Amino acid sequence: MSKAIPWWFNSLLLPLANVGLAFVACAIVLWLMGIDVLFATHVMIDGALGSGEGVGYTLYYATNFIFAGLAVALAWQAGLFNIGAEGQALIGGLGISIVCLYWVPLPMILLFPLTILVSALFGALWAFIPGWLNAYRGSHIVITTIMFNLIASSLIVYLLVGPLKESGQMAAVSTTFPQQTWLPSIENMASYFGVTLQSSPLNISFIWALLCCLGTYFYLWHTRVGFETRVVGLNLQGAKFAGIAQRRIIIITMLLSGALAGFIGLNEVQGSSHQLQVEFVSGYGFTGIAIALMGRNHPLGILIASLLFGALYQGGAELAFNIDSVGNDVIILIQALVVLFCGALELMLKPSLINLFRFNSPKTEAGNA
Amino acid sequence: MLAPALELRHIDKSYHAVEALNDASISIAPGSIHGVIGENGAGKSSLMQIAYGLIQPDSGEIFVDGAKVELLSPLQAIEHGIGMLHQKASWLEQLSVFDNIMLAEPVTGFLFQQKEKAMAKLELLRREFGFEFSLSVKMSQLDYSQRQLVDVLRSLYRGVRVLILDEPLALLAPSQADYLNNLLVLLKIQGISVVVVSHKLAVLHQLCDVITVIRTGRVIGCIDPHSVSLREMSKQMVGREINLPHPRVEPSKNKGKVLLDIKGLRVHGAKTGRKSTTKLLLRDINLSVHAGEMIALVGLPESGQDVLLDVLAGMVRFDGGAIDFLQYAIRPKSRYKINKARDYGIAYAPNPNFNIGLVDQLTMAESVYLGYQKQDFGRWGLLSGRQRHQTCHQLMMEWNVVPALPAMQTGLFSGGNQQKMVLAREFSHQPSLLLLNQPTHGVDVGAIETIYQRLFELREQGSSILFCSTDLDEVMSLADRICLFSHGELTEIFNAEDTDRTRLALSVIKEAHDV
Amino acid sequence: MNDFSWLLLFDAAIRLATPLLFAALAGMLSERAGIIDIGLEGKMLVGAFAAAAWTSISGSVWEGIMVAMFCSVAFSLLHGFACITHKGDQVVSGIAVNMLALAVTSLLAHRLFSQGGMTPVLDKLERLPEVAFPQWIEVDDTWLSQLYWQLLSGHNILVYVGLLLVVLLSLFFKYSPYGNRVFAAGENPKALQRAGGSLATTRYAAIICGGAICGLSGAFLSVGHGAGFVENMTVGKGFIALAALIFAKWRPVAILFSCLFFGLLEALAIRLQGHPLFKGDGMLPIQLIEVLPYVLTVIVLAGFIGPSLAPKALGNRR
Repeated sequence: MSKAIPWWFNSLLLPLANVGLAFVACAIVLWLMGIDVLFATHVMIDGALGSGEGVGYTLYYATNFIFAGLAVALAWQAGLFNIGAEGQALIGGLGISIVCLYWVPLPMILLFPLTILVSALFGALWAFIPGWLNAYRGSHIVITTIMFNLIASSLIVYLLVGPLKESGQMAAVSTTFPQQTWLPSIENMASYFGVTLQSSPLNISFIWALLCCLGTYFYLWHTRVGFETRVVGLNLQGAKFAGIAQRRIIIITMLLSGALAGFIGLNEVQGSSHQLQVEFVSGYGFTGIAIALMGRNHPLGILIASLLFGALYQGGAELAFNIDSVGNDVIILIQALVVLFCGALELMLKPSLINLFRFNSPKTEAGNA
Repeated sequence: MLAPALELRHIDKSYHAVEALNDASISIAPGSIHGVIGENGAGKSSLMQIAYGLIQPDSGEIFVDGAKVELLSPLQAIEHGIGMLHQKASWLEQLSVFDNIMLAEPVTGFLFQQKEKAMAKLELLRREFGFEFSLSVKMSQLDYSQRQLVDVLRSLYRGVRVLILDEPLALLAPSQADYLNNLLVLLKIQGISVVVVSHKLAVLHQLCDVITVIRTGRVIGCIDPHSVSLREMSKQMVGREINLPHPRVEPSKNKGKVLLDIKGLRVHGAKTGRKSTTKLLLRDINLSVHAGEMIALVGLPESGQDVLLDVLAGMVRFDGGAIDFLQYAIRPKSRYKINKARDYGIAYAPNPNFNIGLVDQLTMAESVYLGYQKQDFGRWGLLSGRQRHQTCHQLMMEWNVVPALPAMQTGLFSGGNQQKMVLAREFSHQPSLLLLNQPTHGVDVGAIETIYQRLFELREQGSSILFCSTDLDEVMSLADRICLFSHGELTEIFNAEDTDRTRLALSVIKEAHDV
Repeated sequence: MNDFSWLLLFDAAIRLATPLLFAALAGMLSERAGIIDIGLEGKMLVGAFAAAAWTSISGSVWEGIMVAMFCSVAFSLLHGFACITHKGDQVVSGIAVNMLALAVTSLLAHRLFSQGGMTPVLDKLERLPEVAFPQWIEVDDTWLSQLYWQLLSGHNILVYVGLLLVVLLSLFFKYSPYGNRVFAAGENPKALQRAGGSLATTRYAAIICGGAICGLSGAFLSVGHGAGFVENMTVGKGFIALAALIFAKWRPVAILFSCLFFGLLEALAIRLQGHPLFKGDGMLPIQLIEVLPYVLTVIVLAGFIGPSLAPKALGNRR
């Protein structure tokens, strides 16, 4: 390498190229299946951004993805692969449901912090055991978190067909929460200020998600523990040299990661459906992996990726009405290809891109890109 | 005359701009025993790994029996009749000797048919060369020298023509001497060339027909051991003119009080699974270090000098003895960790090759907090980016780090600038005792100048410095006293004034002779 | 319960254990070679869809099975391309395989058959046959006859293939030079390379075989035991297979027993639904049996039942 690789190569060009590749691959797969890609794109964009309602839904989905993405990314910063966001979110939702069902008459200004606290606590608890096993028993965190996902979903099923079941209901759902516990929707909040918005399930937890982005950024880049977390993730020997207690960091990180995943319940359970449902997480934990990979484990990147995926989700739902129920699958397809190209094949393009840049002067490159 | 069995011509190889081999050529005559000697890091192993196809040269040519070949993988080398015994070999201990030998053998014919044939052939070879192990026994039941012989047997099975032995310590032990002699004679009769790479000059001097000397990546020449004495050969290897890159600065004469006192220090190795016997990594070390003294720890690799640094830095636990530093009494049970060491005023700059003093992916402004995050981050564990930036920038200016950009990724700085930053960090905390491992490995000349100057300044301020180095020029330019390590023991302490480079180099190598 | 239902229970256990067995054996091949195989679930799903889809289009279940194996191998190759050729993260790649399989099978099912994500229901002739044993023992009420006819005879042909595979694979790892090579790739890749072997070739070979076997696992679900493909029909079976693999500490015969055990738990959970012990308030939750495999796996992983004997180089990228 005659020329040093500039900073934007690894942090901008390569990720963008990978995301681009993922979308191109997705278009090819859809085209092979005989789906009109252009039409589908049009439907999706229109569905996601074409109306106030669409935008509301987009942001509502993005809320979930921010929490899930942050949970995965935070763990990743410490070198831990937390696949357990799914289960941690379920248990977090359970915590919220318990608070809301056995509701202590509190005003929203106190109740919201309480549910935040409880969902964080429940999510963290579910992440603590895999974290502890990894730190002290050397168990592979991927496998333990997968197992804890499955255990969590069995636990919720048990509770919803047993103790928490709404009497006289066939579906496995809990009783609807009292209306006083529902999180205020953005629509209502806006009308308080005299602005009318179209109705959507978007609620105050979106603002909390933005705050979490900020908080995660601050934690990772401006606190000592955050610094130590990143050192553990980047260079274990370096961490040992720096006198960082690796086990402590693993456990702290898993607790925080679990707490962030637990917040998904705020948006889904307390903010939107107002009751505990078996499948309210529906794969958001796994989407979190795609988001974290796409956002390069950085809160700003995650915010952008979440908005994109939020739009995709909403657009996909719209697509389901137009093209024989393929909406949800298209999302999973994109998700899979993003994980593949931004994660597993992250470095595939690197050698050829480096070659490309050596032969061409940067100026013509900029023109081509 | 016959074409050489193996010939490497004009080989160049560098790792990340650090030159390992420069225009190195070697020619192995058929049926000869060819020794290769050189100091640590001279490039012997790299040359041999190129010959076995494990690494590829940047340029140069390889010839087998006079025909040019390309060796891209060990498999290709094996096909050309080259076999190798590795310095740090590993085997599949759970499998039998037979299975280990046949591990990558192409499968021909049916299972049992091939096995019988191979078994018969191996058995024949085993008898012929007098290997004493059974083929069906598990690898884990053999001792180390026998395991190395398994590799020899594998090479023989494949019709090896050139057998490379890279530092076959177990085979070169005195107890194996007769055996090895016999083996080499047998190999010679079969027309197999043997290349032996080792530090053990005396053994090589006895065994070999010809010896190639390598110094800092260049082949210096070939020696006929029958006409050149052992002492002269040693000198060839190490005894160049003393070429101090930097003038020595003598310490001010007033010796300070004892700062660090080590008594009877003992460190056990990790317990090896099956046998509960542990090797002693360090045994009975006694050393007093005065304030304002710079001491070098030298010896062959893994002689214990690195371990002593790690123990003092709190990276490795010790099992016996006592360390007294300033007013602190450090004992085996006193939970002495690296954070404690920093609190006491001990700073440690690890071997730059291990890449642990800084974290490549962090920005330099962040990297310079590594290890001092407890002290440097504010009261609530918070720190503003601007403050971090300023501190780093100041250090960069003080140490001429180029480019002086705190926001640049650590890994993008050159090795020399990285090492300067590590030292800048450690110096900025005013250590009473500074521990350095290979302070200038992979560091360019300009940076070395700065580093040496700062080290002399620190010594002048009354701090003590302990450093490990394989570069004897460096040792001679810096150290006031030199401690020689061998097999975990501190065998000799020299005063720098009373010794010279050649004597020191010979003493280091001599330790290898009396294994 | 009387003897009769015990037999039925074990009969069901064998049936439920078979897909786990294939998947776990596939995982063993891959993980023994040092490649973590989170993607079992996805490859099962692909196998299930390919078998059902091809069978319903062509009418030949045998062709369907070949196609299932082929498609599953294709996904294995994708995994290999990412983590052997490009040395990517094996877990990330495995997750991508799972997601991709879910999306592609479901999309294709919708596009090809327009039956809400299902393939057409296959009739008995279009499914894998059951194998009746020869009449060595008369059909009567003795326990031997019951055992023979109820438990051993009459299973789907893949059940017996699975058992055969266990024997073959344990022989493979015990005696075959290739088995040693796969073992070396997962245990000590350096030794393999220095001996002149190719790590990439060995690992590719292992995951290709693993892919084929995993395809059978999926085929059993859709054209063996079941009668067609349903969206996401594996519902976590791949992960249970992974659990069985870890529980058995990566050994073929032990895998057979751990799969039978997990199959038995599943059969129990189904049989005991509605049993007085699990009914009404304050009684035992049936989910307790369901989560047992997961809990046991966590306990094994934590090293509470002897050391977890994972291949030493599992997950190493080089």
